Amino acid sequence: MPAPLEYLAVSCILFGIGIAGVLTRRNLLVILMSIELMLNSANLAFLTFSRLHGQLHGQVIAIFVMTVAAAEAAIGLAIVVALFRQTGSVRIDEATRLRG
Amino acid sequence: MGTPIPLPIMPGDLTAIGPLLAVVIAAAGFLAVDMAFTREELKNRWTFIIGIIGAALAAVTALMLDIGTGESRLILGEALYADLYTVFFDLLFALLMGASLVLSWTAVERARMKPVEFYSLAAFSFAGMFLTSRAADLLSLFLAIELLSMPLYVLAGFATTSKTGREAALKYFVLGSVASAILLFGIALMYGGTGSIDYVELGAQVSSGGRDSPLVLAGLALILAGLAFKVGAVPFHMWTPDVYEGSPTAVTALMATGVKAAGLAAAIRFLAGPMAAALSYVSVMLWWIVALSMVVGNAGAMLQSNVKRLLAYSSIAHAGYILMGLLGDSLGTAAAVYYTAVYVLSVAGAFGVVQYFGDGDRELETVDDFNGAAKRHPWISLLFTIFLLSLAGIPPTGGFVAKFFVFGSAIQTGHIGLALLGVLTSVIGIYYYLRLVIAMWMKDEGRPVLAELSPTSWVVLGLLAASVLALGCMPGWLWLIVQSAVVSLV
Amino acid sequence: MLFDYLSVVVLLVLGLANIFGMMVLPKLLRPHNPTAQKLVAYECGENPIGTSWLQYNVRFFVVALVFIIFDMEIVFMFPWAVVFKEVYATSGPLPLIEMAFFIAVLAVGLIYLWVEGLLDWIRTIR
Repeated sequence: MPAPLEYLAVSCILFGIGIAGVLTRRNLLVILMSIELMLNSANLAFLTFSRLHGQLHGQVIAIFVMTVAAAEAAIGLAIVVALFRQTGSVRIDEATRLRG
Repeated sequence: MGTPIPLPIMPGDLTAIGPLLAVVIAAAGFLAVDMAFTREELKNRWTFIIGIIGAALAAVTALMLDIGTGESRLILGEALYADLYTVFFDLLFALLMGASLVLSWTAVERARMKPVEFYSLAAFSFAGMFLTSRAADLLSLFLAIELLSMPLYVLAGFATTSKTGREAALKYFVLGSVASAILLFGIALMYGGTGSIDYVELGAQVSSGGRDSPLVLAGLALILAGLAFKVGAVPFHMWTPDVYEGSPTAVTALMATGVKAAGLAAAIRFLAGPMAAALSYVSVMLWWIVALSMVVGNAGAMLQSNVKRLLAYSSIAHAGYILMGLLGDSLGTAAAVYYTAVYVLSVAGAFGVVQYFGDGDRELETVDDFNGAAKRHPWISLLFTIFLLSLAGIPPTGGFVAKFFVFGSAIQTGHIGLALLGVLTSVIGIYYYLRLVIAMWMKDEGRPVLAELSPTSWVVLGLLAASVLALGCMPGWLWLIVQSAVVSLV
Repeated sequence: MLFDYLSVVVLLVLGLANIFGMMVLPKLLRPHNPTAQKLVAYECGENPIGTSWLQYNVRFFVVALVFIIFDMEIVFMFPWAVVFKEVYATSGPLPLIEMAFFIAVLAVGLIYLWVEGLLDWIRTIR
């Protein structure tokens, strides 16, 4: 069995990529994808630890997180569509009415 | 076919989650009403009836819980708690739900939202709030926070007439989901460090040396950051002013009261319960969160002319004051819970009043719009003044007593600098709250228009104001309840 | 032990060399003579009109959202189905009731969609 450290490293890297994506990308759809990446990197960590501890808890949590991620994607896409109809753009730079 | 698998549901469990069931059934009832009737008046009437029944049932079932000797009971396969702490927050949220139904109705219709749809989404969000105070493992905590956030992401952009609503919804959604992801990753690390997500098991692990594991500490820091995001404490506060201003006022009222109280209920339960032994390791982080929240919140509020933005910044400051209680001992925790209750009552009242001021489709936006309100509408101005004085922390109101408890516990446990900073920033708070009061009472050029208040709204506003005053004049009874509620956390 | 990974390294080097060779060698060998004609769509291909980012009907979006939600429902039912026989033998019909409740909650959502008319493919705008 390979050591779990590799999986954990991958999960941390994915989480980092997700955060970097949210912070630097300007396209809303890419930001949504980055958020999904963050949630799924946590899933990978849960599965790794689940294997490490020899329990099923982590796997059960991963299923719940997948559901939450699906619901979040649905809401996020709906909001993006609503905003697109208003501004005709999916770039976050356009959303600057509220300031201060 | 070896060992029998234990049943996850015990006989008393369903009554113990009674408030939760009441709210979920009310939410389903709203959907049924929307399907069953076609005429708007019928829909509206039944929405109101079902909502009030749901809130009342939630309160009654919360009171029916058998607390026993005051120890926490684990229910539903050890996923949730049932104790005095949950009863306390159940009552608070049930009250909020009733207040939202009565006071926000005008604002909901003014923003051209359908009350049925608004309140069904709000009811799902309330279900999440009822869950946060009773979460007994990290998965329940995560699911509760998601359940409470997701309907609000939708509600923030729900008003089709609003130019800013969708942008507010977008900002709330992006930042809120990032916060959830951070919280989730923290939970993953915590699970990795201890091999458990149960609060009881976590507490045992942490106090017996588990707190020295870097995984646990990193997890705790990430969970703290995620919760601070939901509560709106600095440095995770950037979303608050924009989202509070851009959302419809009825939704903003929900965010400022329900979401904040639920986030605090979860944070207090988690930090004062299983993480109590590890809290000293992150106390520096907590110290900075508290100090920065008080300074940034109050300084930011001072510079605002928009009332919703002002209340948003002041809510950041109040999050700081409440979290200050967690730095102290169990008295400090009790003070934090007490402050939460007072804050929720005052803000519910303040937003309740703000929602009624307005002209046709337009709401009053700036502080100057309130000029001369007292001359034309003295009674409601008086009620508004009481809520504002309570938020500012001026003596005959509950806000003063709450601040007194929090600062007192901070001084007792040696955080004198922080308490001093708290007192200094409250003085700034008095300045900007009084600006509103002065605009209402001392200036008379403006003519703010007031929507018609139904008798029930008067009763609810009056009750809120009376309870705020009662908590200031005779704080003893609630203080005792809160103290025994906090005992069951540890 | 580390030596075992040598084959991986060799494969990696060969793979990279392959990619490099495929991309660089043709560039060195082929004649370079671009004309506008070469950019035109091939043979019977049509020249595209407008942008390729055309707007899909919003119905696809709603159906996709509904699909995601019910897709996740199945994820919960698989582990339930695996242990169902065992749990049923020891503790009676409670798991059945639980799953029925779970599906009923989702069914309420589905019925709501249906009544609101979001499942109708041809929809009258209200």
